[in-house]
Amino acid sequence: MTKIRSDVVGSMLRPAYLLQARKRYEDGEIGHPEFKETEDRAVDEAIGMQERVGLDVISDGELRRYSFYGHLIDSLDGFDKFGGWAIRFKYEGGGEREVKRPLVVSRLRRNRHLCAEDFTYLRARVSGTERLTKATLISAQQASAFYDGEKSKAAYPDVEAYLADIVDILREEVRELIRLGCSYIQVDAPQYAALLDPALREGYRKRGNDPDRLIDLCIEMDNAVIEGHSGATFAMHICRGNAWGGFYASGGYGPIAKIFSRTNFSRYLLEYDDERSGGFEVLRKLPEDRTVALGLVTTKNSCLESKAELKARIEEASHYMPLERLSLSTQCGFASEMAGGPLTLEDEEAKLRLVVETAEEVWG
Amino acid sequence: MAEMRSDVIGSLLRPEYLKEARQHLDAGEISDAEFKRIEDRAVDEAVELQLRSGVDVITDGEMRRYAFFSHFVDAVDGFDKLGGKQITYRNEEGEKHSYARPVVVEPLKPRRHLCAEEFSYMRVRAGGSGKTIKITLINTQQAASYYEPEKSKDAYPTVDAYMADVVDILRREVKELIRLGCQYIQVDAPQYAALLDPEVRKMYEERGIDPDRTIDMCIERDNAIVEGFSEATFGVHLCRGNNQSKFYASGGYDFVARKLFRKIRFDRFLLEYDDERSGGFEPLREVPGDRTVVLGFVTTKTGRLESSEELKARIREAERYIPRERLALSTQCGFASVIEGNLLTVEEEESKLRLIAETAGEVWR
Repeated sequence: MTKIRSDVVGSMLRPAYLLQARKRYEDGEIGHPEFKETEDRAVDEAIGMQERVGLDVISDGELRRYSFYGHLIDSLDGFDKFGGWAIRFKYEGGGEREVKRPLVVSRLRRNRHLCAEDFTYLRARVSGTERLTKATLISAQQASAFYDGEKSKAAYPDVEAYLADIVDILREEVRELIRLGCSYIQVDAPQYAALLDPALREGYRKRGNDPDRLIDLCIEMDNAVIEGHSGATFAMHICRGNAWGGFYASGGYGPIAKIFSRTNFSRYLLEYDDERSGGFEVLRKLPEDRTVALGLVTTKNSCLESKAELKARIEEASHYMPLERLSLSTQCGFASEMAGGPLTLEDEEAKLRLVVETAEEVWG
Repeated sequence: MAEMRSDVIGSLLRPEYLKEARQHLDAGEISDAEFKRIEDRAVDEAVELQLRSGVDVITDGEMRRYAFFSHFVDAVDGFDKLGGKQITYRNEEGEKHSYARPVVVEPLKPRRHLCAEEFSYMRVRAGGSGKTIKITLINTQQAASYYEPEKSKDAYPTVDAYMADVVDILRREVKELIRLGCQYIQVDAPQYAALLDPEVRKMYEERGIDPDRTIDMCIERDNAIVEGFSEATFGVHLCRGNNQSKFYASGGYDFVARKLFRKIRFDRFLLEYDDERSGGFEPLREVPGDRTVVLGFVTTKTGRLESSEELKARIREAERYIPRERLALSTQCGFASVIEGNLLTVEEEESKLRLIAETAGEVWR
């Protein structure tokens, strides 16, 4: 595989016309062909933008999803889309915003593969170039947030039974993606952030859950999803929440460092856009066959980082991990939720161009 | 949707490099990603060939299939792919060859959608071309022929139990194809042809099977696939077998016309009409007023090119039974119902499609 120097995490801002088309489609005002034409146009623009700035990796911007986990909810029967508990996102400025989560209410049944359309379309669009195409999948533990001890009991007696189905579904997805020719698959695992935040760890303990045991369980599931496949690069993305520029956890990677040696992923895309992510010392703990994408450029605000500052931080990171195993990306996607963040499409392109240009200057 | 006067059935000749790549993939000599690059190239060339020829309907040439039915047996677990009955194909010279069918040996378990990859890819390659993208599916009776009581009874006690699963899988496929934006879906129903052939009918009767009742059941099940879906044009394609330029049945449409044309709820009938084995046009009288007939005049069995004049004369003849505005033109079948392909060259294939596009342009302009 080509060396990746400039990476993307996945999601891109949805253009207004796509959000409108989605609404009209859901209201039955436009049919499938018309909606797909609009959705494809948005995907084409997202791909065109990434190619224009010259990224080594191209995603479809997750434009077909309403949220970074939309591929799971929309492809399976068994979820009440907005029936789950609300999660609060905090803002650096002090505000809060709630996102309603889905809830599992009946046995899961797959209607279709979660990302087969996304990837096949992307493959067709990007073919004939040297760029890598990436598919992103939700992690199993992240899906555990959609289980409620009371409301989900009729569907699954306990969360373990539910997660066993989720792991199976994700395993089958990986198998299909590889068959479709996908060679770069990323698992989005923001749950680890909840397990590194000292306050959230304390919360787990109070509810009788040992956070370190939970980490072990997460590792086991994430490994199970990719086990037995050698044809692709498997990456894991860890961040501390990203909705409309807000977040939900804080803390360095120290408490979860064992994931770097015990998960069988070869690449980690790590949020590093501010002091909430802690220092680079933890990079020392990664085995030599692993690479890291430093998420130094933030998608949470439009303020453009300076190249000098990025280079200085890359240099700092290289004290703990050789430069040739490092690369650069944003800390997360630009629109983990369909509604997006405080950035404009122009800001988004400027951020990605900065990632590419800085990567070129650092790695040549 | 754009007018579809020049139609294609589905399969196109597979290039040698694709057949080789399939072998390399099966032998584990190339990766999935490498294989897809080659397969995509074959699809791209098939699309370009059709665009060049000017036909109104575009398929991916079924390049991703080893046979017209393989989207089903590759995507659904439960089949022994080569373990079924041998079926004998022949040509006008009496030469024969046998072809092994799949047989169901375990309860069906879909691994993936049958044609979602094909269609999603085609959205990129032919979307915006002004052409209609077609996806082909096997019909229920074709799938029924993969049930053999001896070998299949552990999986399903009866053929009906098996067929219930088949219908369910095909319905789910139609639903997904429509969600993906597909507007033209065709089921390939060569089994009706067997029920047209007086000799085959006699064989059914001798085995105690009423061929007319079988037709009724086929129609009912094929209708079940498309029932309730209104966002696409549904075609049903009938032929008498097409395997490396050979066929397996003969007979006019008389036997099924009344039932099939009237009872089947498909919008478009794509009918084999490339030689006298298909009989005359009189049965077209039975086609209800809201349906279109695609006349399969141009043969894919040989490279000999029909003349535009002879095609027009035959269209005029058909017009005695059905008005021109409800007619369209195509080949009698695909060019490669199985990966081996028919006995003509890719240049002859392109000439045949161009002939269809040009003749249709002159007749319906």
